[in-house]
Formats: sequence, structure tokens, C-alpha cells
Amino acid sequence: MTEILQKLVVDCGTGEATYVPLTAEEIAQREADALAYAQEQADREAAEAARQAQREAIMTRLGLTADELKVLLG
Amino acid sequence: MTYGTLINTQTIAAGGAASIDFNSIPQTYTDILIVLSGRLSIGSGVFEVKLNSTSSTSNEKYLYGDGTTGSSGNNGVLYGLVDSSAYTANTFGNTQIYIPNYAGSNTKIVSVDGVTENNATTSLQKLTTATFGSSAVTSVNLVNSFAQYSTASLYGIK
Repeated sequence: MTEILQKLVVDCGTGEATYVPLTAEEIAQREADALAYAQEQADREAAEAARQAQREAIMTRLGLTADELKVLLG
Repeated sequence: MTYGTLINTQTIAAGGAASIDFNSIPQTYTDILIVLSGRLSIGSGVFEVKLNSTSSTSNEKYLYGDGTTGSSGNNGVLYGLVDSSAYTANTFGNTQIYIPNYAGSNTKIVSVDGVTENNATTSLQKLTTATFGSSAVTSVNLVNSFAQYSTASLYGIK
């Protein structure tokens, strides 16, 4: 069975709340938003992994462990 | 102390909702506040906050932490945070959305703070701000797959 996506629309003037099926345009926008967020999250994680690799490479060059670095920076 | 005037409160029914739209917001308060106890029916706990059905276009910045590491950055649009379906059953995260001077013609600056609740190691906190255009805010849209019993309340602050 196909799931019918619906939104909760609240009219604050009257207090009336109704569930309304999403339009095709709203469903497309929702999918585009999800893709954009997934891409942004992947980019952020890749950038963080690159920074972590850089930190570890520097610590290796200096001969320091992560705990020793914390002591130095504390 | 009176914290604010409750304008409307809604609890999501069985079947969930792909968004919660507060429309026709009265223009008679100084600020508005949305308090959300929420859970999403998908594996992500983030939802978008839109004003007048429009995404934020600039100056979005966040501070994010999981109790072990923290980070800050920019997502491009404004997100709130509640529990995802991966969290302990029947737990709900919390987000507050504060919109000062929402009825005027100044640039709208919105702050969002959210936390998750989980009977497990992972639990998150996120503090976010973003700017929108200068139009008076007549609607606020919380967009993602909200699960049953998620509750959103809109308050007017004088």
C-alpha cells in the first residue's frame, strides 16, 4: 500500500487544525531537502575525518599520544 | 511569572505528519516561541524550520555536541533536533524555537536549541541560529516526518 504523506496545518486565527495530503510539488521538495541534507552531512563528516587524519599525522611526527597532547594543551 | 500566552498546541495523531504548519499567526505579540517535544519516524532526528514556507538563506551557524566531541559549522538552512526512530522507544527530544520581533519589517533572526533523549550512550545537543528575510512572520513550518504524540506549542511573548 502506498503511504499517503500528510501535513498538519494549524490556522492560529481560528484554532482549527487539519491534516492535508502533500502535493506532488511538496513531496518533490521534501525529497530534494533530504538529499541536500545527506550531501551536507557527508561533506561535513569527510571534512572532519580529514582534520582528524591531519591531527594524527602531526602527533605521529611529534611522537605524541592523544593523552599527552591533552596534557600539553590543558 | 507568566512565560507567554499559549496561542495553539497540537499533538500529532496516529499516522504522523510530514510537517507541522502554524499559519495565520496573530501579529499582536513582540516575540513568538515554539516548544516542541518531538520524535521522527525516520533514522535522522533533524527537521527544518521554515518561516512563511521559506528556508533560511543566510548566516546559519550551529554549535553541536554529543557529550564527547563538539563541532561548529554551517548547514545552509535552519535545522532543529529531536529524537530519531533509532532512539529508545517512546522517548522524545526537545527543541525550542525563538523568533523575536516576528511581526515587524526588520530582518528575522531565529534561534533554535535542541536536545535528544536516549536510554543509551548517544545523546546530542545542538544550538543554531539563522537569519531570514524581512517579511512579517505569519507562518512557521516544522518539516520532517513527525511521529505520533509529538507535540508542538506556539506561544506569544509580550
